Amino acid sequence: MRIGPWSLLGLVALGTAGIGGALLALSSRSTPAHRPGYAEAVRGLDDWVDVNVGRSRRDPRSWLALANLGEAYRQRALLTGDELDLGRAERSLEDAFIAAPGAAGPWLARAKLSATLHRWNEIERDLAHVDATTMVDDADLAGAEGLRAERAFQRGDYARAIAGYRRAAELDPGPARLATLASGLAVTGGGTEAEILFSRAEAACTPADPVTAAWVELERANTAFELEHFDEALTRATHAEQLLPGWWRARGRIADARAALGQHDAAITDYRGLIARTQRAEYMDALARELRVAGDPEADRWIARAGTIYDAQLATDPEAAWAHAFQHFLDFGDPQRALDLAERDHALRPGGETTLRLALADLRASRLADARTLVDALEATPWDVPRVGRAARLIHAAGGGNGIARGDAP
Amino acid sequence: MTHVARLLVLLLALFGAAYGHDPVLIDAEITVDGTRVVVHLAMKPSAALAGIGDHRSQVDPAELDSLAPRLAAWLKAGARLTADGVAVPMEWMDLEGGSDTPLAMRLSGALPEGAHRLALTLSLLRDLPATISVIDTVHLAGSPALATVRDGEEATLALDATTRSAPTLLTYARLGFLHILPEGLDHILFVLGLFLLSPRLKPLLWQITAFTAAHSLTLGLAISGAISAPPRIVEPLIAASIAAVAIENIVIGRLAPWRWAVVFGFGLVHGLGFAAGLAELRPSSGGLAAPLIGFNLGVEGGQLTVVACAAAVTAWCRSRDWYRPRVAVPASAMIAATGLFWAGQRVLG
Repeated sequence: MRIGPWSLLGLVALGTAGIGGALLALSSRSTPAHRPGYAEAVRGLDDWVDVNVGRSRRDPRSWLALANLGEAYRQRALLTGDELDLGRAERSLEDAFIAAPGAAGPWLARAKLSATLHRWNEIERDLAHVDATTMVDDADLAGAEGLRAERAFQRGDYARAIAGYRRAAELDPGPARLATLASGLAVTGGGTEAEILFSRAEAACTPADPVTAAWVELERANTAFELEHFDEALTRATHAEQLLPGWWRARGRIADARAALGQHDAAITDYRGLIARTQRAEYMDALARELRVAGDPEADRWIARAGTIYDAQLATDPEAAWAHAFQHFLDFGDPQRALDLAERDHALRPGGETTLRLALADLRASRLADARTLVDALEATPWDVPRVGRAARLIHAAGGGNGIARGDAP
Repeated sequence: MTHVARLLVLLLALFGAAYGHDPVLIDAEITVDGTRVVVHLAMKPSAALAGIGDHRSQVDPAELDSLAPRLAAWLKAGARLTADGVAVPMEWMDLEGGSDTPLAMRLSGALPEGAHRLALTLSLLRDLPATISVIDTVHLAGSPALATVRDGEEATLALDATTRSAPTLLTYARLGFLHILPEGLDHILFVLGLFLLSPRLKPLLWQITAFTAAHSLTLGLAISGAISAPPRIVEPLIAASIAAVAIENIVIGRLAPWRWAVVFGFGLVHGLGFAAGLAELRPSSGGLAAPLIGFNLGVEGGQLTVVACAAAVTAWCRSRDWYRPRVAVPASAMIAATGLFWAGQRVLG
């Protein structure tokens, strides 16, 4: 057999390419690229859950093991938004209380879960037990302070809330507590101090902890969004996503900011991706709003789908569903149902957010006097976000009144 | 507790975000093709994992194969399909997805002739805490109707002409053609490897005929269930066959006597690969002739299109002295390298 020069060249090329390809395949197998991000964070929590499942199975009568398992599920739910984990957390904590002797039990963990599920009326009972416990460290005390502050914020007691956030940050001066205090201040007239605290929180973050860094940045994005600084919100949410690649919550805020900035096509793409990943009804509603702007009848399908989800959620866990379900029914459904939800939510936590919702629901239900009373009262509170001014203008305009809303003041 | 988890404990304890007990959503899409019905189920990985008693939140796509048997058993036990009140036994087909994207799984079954009404009952997540509700949304492909029920309840859907399309010979032929162009790059390279050996038409047609006879044989046997081979074996072999034909082009450079046998042997392997492509439309009982003939016709059409394109592109140079050293050999080298790379990749991973 004779091999000519071209064939020889071909064989050399073949050998080189073949060896190169094999090496490439082997290298991609043996040294997978290290990509710290959301998926890795979830894997870490999967491992933590796994460890605690093992412990609770080995010792099913240990309330501490069950309490840790419940907390592990709750932590994972906070990152993933997975509804299954909240149910599992609740069941594990219930089992822990059954197994616990006397007055012992995971009181703080249950209070945190109640806050997560918006069950604000149930928090104080558990925190009273935490107060009565002698073996409490600063982190637990800060946790209790933080929950009370959050409850006060939800109820519209802003002075008490800010004081509570401050105490919590003094007890546990980490970046997340600083950012929480900063975001509270930013919407209650303390913008200058908020900026300083946000900067301190960012400076306290380390590259070794991308989750905290991303959360602080997203908190800044959320605050900017609330203050309707949409360009800044988009920039910061994008940065948060860069800090924790793959985090759906950061992508959600990016989508919201794009929608607010009129970047409808990009927002639609984002919301579709978010729905595929999370199946969350609020993203279905958001997508429907964008599709309606574009005149796309597909919006109706998402509205119907979200309505189904809210119906199920309201049946199983009403307190947690009221806020998002309210917005759904206000925008797309029965105004009377929106009003009913707003009244219930306001009764549970009569803060600025729920008062504003109730005022808008009253307006939609043609209860103008009630709407005006509520929005006037709201303008007298320290809760100072542009939405209040716009709502006031809308309500007063609808009523034919000449009142000057805060947003109209020079 | 891992480092990441420890950091998260410190952080997430402070999260102010509140969540509700959103319902778990399971999407079911039913596709009806003649006598075959396919149920596509999509849900979050955590929901599917919960169904098989796994408490993790996400799935590494690399472990889907190992999870498949448990997921298949779970779905077959929890999904009940009836046609006009008669149970339709369901078989597991496949799954894909993972990480934090939804898991998509498919079951299929034989649809009785003339069925008018389908009812799907999913009882997949019965052991969840009472605070979690599970919602099933069920719809027929091609129909706007959507049934929304709680898990465990029956979703009933009417079959009509728009949702019930019997596959024809053309349907299968189209599938076969698409399996080559544009989806079958490996088969394209194999055919190009055959083409490059000799610019003359007659030897090429003989090789194509041997290849066709062989893959028709194994395709028929695989589709009828007489033989089966896992993709982990078939796919690397297909890649190796591409490299082997191309290397022979370079080293031998002429139509060796054994070439027919080699091509026939590789055709047998490719037929097993085609079987995976046809499985999607495989009828549940009887009627294998139409799918086989149609699919093979489509495959042949695809192959001949590839040959025609290659012939058109090389028409101006095929009769030149330098065709072999400057076109056939370098192109064969590239094909061989690609085949070797794929073979390594498919074996390793």
